[in-house]
Amino acid sequence: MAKTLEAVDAVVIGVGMSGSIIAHELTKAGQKVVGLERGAGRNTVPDFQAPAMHDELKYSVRKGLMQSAQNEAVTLRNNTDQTALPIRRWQAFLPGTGLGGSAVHWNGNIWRFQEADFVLKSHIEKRYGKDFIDPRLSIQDWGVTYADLEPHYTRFENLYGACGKAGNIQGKVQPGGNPFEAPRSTEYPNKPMKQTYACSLFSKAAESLGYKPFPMPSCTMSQRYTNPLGLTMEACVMCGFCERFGCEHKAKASPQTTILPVLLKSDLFELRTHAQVQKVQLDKQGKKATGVTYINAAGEEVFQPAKLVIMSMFSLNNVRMMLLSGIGKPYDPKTQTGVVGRNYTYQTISGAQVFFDDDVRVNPFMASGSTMSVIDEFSGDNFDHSELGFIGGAYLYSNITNGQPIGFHPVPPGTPRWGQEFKQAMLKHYNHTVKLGAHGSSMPTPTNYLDLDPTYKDAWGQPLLRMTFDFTENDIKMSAYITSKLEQIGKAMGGKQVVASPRKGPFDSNIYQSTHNCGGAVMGADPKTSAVNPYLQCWDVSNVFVVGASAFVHNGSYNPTGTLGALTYHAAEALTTKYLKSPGPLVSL
Amino acid sequence: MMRIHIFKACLLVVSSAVMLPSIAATPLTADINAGKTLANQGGGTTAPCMTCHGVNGEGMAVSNFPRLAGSSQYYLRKQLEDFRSAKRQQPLMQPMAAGLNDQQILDVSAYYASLPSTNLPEPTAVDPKAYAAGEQLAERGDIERQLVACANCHGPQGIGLPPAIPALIGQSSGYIAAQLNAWQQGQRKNDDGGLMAEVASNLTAEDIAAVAAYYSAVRQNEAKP
Amino acid sequence: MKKNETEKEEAVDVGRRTLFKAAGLVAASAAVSSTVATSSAVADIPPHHDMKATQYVFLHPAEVTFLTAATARLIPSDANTPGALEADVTNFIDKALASPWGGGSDMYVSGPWKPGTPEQGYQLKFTPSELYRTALTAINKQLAAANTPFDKMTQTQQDAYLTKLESGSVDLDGVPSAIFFSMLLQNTIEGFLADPSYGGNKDMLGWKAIGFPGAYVSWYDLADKHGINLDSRTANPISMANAPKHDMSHSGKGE
Repeated sequence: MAKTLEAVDAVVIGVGMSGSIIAHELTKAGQKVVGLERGAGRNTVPDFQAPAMHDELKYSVRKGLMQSAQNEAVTLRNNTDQTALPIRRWQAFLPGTGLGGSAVHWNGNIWRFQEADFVLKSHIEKRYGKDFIDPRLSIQDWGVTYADLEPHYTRFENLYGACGKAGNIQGKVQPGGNPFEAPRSTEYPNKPMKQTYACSLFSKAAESLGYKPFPMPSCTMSQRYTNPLGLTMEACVMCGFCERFGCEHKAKASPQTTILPVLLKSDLFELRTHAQVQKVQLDKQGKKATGVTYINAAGEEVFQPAKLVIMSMFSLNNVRMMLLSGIGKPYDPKTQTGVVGRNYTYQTISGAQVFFDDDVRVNPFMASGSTMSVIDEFSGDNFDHSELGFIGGAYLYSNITNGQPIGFHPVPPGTPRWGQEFKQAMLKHYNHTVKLGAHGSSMPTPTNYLDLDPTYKDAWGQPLLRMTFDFTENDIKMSAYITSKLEQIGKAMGGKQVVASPRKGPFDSNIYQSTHNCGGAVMGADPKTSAVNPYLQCWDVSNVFVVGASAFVHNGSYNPTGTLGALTYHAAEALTTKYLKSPGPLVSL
Repeated sequence: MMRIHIFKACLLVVSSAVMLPSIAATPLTADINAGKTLANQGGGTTAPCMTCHGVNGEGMAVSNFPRLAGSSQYYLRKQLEDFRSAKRQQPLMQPMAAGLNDQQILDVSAYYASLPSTNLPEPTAVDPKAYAAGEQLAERGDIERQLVACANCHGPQGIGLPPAIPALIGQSSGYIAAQLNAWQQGQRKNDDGGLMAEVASNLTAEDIAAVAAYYSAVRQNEAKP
Repeated sequence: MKKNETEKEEAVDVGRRTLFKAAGLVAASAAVSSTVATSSAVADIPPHHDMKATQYVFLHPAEVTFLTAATARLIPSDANTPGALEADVTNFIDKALASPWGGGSDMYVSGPWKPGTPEQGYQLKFTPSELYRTALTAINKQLAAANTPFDKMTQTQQDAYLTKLESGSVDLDGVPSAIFFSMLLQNTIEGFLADPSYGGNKDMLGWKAIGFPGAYVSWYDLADKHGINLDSRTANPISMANAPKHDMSHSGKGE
């Protein structure tokens, strides 16, 4: 029998980036909030301190900060003709766990989506005609516009101390920034980071081809910064341990460095770690959530009643929790009806390696996760697609973020996998190779979706999430086109050999690509094609909000964190200024 | 580049050189012997370095003069240049550096970098409480006050991460405290990016005394890789 | 070795951090010299490795013998740089197999087990320690029956046998040999380049060979000094193993 606790105003499931922001906004509005975190508590000191944190084997190779695959895996099939099997080790994507979530181990790249992204269907039809869109793509408008989100982007960038150079302030193009970006109300709160050698090699080559390179906007700090909550981050020392690591130096924005110290001091907030939520309980009509059932560290089942439930887990887990709780109609690919699990998207990443001679010392270990130089000419709809037969694009960038040698020891193609020749190539090229990347959009299609696996269970006996996914023909074409542009830049960098690798299907769970799993509980103005309304509120259960990249209708060419942060503040504003005053559906049908 | 392991090791022991790509048309070449002469006999208006920094560059703890032996040439050269340009303000050192030209700075830096400093002095007794508090801050930081560990940049037990980041182990408590105060009060602002001023601004007088006590007294664990 | 480009460069000293470890370095380079001398004197015979000092906690002696000889072919020693042998990769694998990782701590280990597509990844029911034990037992049994123990083969014969394992054409009591080979190769690279705390990368030989500065690093000042030659810095890395004790007791809030 579940132990029932005293009711609270709100329960937040998952205390990561979104959860900490929503919880903070709710406590500011006087709400009593319980945060349920399945993982452990952790903080910069002592948990992230060097040298223990600088352990490539433990954290990068063995995925020390990630969701336990032993307890909760995801099953995968590339299409519905296959039987899904568990991804037994995290490799292609790496969901985090623990206080702070994936925002502890991220690289710190922060972007805004394009204006066109939020009205993608309307925009493409207007620019290229109604017949242009491949009927196999289920793109649609988001129900929110860039203008709606701009103030929330700004709030999030101020909280997270974004470092960059604006390219467009209120419609006026700024030198040194990204001339293609959507208009910003203000400059970034911090200047861009120092540019490494790899950045400079890329920038020079890109400029020689007529492109306009700029420094990657980062949440690894270029200088000391005190955010609006009074929390101070230090300048990043470029130790080369960002992605998959916590920051020892308080130099990477994370819940720990930007908001948790304030939130945890609030009398209105209670954090419970090791709380494994099983489901959101609904009333008899299935229209209202009554609270959340979780299993605590002692194995006891606990029911926490609440007036409001916020799902703010990793995108995949948000979708799974909706399915486990029976909130929203599950998507059925045969009839293409239902909404939960629909429009699952990913990130279409491709790359190139530029091998230099011995005189070019890249020193790859001097870097942060965001020391990159970027061009935006080929992102989203920044270029004319009319003759290309696909939509979407990618930003192109120099991709040296660390020199951890187990994971980074590039060798030219044709090198044997092992033996003397391999070893010599590994030692020879380590300090003389620059990796480039193309960070591409991912378009939804009716055959890519998420549901509950019929066979495999988690450690608590609940069905695993089943992922049915492969790259769309659209995205494969996009990657081929974009990667050829990347190869041209690589050649202009003056290396002796350039090896480009466009993304090809089928989606392979063995190769790390990106943890930008998006969609599955998408937002929108039409309840037939969206799981949540434009305020991230469930259409069917109005006191449940689902905040995550699960709401992305498609995935743009950019890292999702900035847009997720903006959506989080957008939802928080609706909650505190509208919902709390008059609980109920914020969009009437 | 096939860097031969043994070659590297020998290089380290013999010259321990880091190569910077030449920017100037005629790069300077360090003359260690000229540096030694300067260190021992002075030159022009500059007094012999050894008067204050010791015959073997071991420093003079009682007067807060730092040990120089074994510091990196990169670091020593930068400090002399910064004394000369007043980015680092110190009434004794500024006039000394002002009397040196680029070649002399390079030579004397190379000389002190070449000196062995295996002979760290026996640590003077420090207050065990201060030492423990210093060790906490230096090696682990203090999240309650948003302080990160010194070790993240200065290495375990302050052994330094050359060429840019100096060793703290074996410096006198007086010198370390004087530097932290100088960072805090703005007489020293010669690090790239102002990181040290930021760190020092968060320290209390007790913190500074504790960290200084720790680094003056800590001695390295026997290396067992 | 070709004369490098440093003649045109200005020498800047990194300093005597050597002071704290010069003795160790000299000893390490001496050790490498003697290994090199041994192996180059008798060309096609695997170098001798004294394993008496190592306490193995998972591997049986016959498994140690095979792994030591096999990993020495995956990352061989040569006149210029040490290989898996000097880095003590077998010890790394032993400790890894005895660790939670060896027991499958980072894997979903529940059934049902079914063969999948290559894209679905590893689908065997074996944890890493079970996989090694099963495969190594089968390998040693097969080679003993043929009277061709691996460590007595010439290097050419050893490479041929490893190539056979890599191709997947050997049945190792239910373990496809290609899967075992891939895991062995991955673990060998790990053992060459992981922090020495895990029992391999002895004396940080792997890091020194590739030029990785180790676990303590702070590059703010140098990150925009493009192309700076840090060979003498990376020849002298710092590992967790030679760092001071690290107190992981929790003092922070947020628990």
